[in-house]
Amino acid sequence: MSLVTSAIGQGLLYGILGIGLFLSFRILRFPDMTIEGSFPVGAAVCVTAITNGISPLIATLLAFIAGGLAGLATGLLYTKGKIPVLLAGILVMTAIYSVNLRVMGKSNVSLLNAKTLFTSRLYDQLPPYFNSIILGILTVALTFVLLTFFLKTDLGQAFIATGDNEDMARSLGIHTDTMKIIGLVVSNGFVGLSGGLIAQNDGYADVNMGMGVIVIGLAAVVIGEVVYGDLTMTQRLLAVIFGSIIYRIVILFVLQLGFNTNDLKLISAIVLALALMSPALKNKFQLQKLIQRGVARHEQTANVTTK
Amino acid sequence: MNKQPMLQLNNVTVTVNNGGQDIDILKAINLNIYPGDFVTILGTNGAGKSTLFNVISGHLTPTSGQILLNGEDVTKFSEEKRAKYISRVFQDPKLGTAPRMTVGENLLLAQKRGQHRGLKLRKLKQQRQELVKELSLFENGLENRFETPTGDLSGGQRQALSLVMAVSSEPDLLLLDEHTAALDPKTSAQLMTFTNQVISERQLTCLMITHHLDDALAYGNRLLVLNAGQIAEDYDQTTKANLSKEDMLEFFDSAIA
Repeated sequence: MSLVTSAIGQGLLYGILGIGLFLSFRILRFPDMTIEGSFPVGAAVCVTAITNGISPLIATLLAFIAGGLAGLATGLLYTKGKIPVLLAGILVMTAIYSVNLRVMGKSNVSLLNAKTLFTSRLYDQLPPYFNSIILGILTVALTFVLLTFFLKTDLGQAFIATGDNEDMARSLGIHTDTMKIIGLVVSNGFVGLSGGLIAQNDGYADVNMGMGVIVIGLAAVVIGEVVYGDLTMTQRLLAVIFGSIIYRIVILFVLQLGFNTNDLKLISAIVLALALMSPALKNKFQLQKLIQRGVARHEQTANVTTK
Repeated sequence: MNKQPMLQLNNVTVTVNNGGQDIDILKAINLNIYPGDFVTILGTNGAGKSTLFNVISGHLTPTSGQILLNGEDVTKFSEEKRAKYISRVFQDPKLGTAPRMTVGENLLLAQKRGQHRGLKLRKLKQQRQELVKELSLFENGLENRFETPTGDLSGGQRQALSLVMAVSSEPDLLLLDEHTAALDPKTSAQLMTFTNQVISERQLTCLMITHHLDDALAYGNRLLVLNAGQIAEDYDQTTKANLSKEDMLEFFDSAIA
């Protein structure tokens, strides 16, 4: 049972990552690789701040800001420097690796015995892993409220329009470069926040913890879409969170089958690949039905003409 | 006419480099457009019609020359900045609307053309009635599809929406770039009738590129013919009225030869 609780808690915390990805990958339709840098930079900044005696709440906010700065760097390289967004993200992600080593001073910093958002006395009364669920729900709720508000403002609508039809947006006087930068900052801010929370939950930050987070975040987005189908923008944000939880439970289930944690990245990739392929697979089956029907009809008409 | 021109082009030249060779797409164009003008523009492919629109809208910066809007030099203004004054409908129905956003959301976006967009709630519900009224002008059922993503509309409905969006914010200048060309003949004629009606009702200043000789002759109070980057002919209302389709066809034959 506590394994499932832990999976739900992690699903919520990684759900924030998914929401960040949703903003860049889905709304702006950017393949933003910065995420693999903004996630660990959030973790590194948060953990370093906490070990230096800064309050965990402020440290967590710093994680958001650090992630946002990473997004800003990518946004500027892309819009002002005219570097393709994929490459801009890779550049920033690569550079951040060194930044993280500078920030932490070594490749791995532990939070052993340090006070974090997950170590309040309030949680002691609760069963194990409930701290991550409570904190996860709180953060998700806050993110959700802020984002749904933002997306319904004039600015938010201009942001959505930029991702939907950039030429039109520009012809309506929307400063599309600014919208892209805002999108990348906010998106990577949430990714950094997620990194900071995960690091506190795991009890350490590691320079390599960004590896593969795109797959985790995209899995949340895509599973949410596959499971829930056609939704409004607000519902889609919630679907990402549920997608993230479902993904964690699937991973838990696979690990229970006897795979070990070294196989995790392979399994993650396979789960995402299957989710991504599901529309194609569905289409393929429908196609077969269509072919069958087409053949049948053809035979009928053939029969009619021979008569 | 001694009114002040709404739009002035002074010696506007656009040069592109094509394989090491400089080609003038527009050659020192001089043009004055007055408030309330409805100008139709004809020209062969490659005559520079779309480039002319791109230069006016700010999508392209001219190589040399000057563009004045209401007497103000806007040559260096970005497209976003000029959007406050100019709206445009494209030939391709996909270009004018955001496909995943609903009809209502699109129209609301257009009503804030060129305005500051901040962290204020959009208030879609409160403005719904007003927006629906605007949509019902065209009488093709758009008002009943308020919550439909525009990607699900037909090409004709999308172009009608693009036009409603373009005129709803009462632009100083409306640019129509073959906006009926991608539609079937019936829908195209409907949209053209509606276009003419809106332009005269709201007394808009409009430039319209078209390949329909009939439309070019039937609508507007002035006709420009572009050829090889220059304004070959500029007919005013009276001379335009005496033109026949044969005159125009003759012109195109000689232009191509």
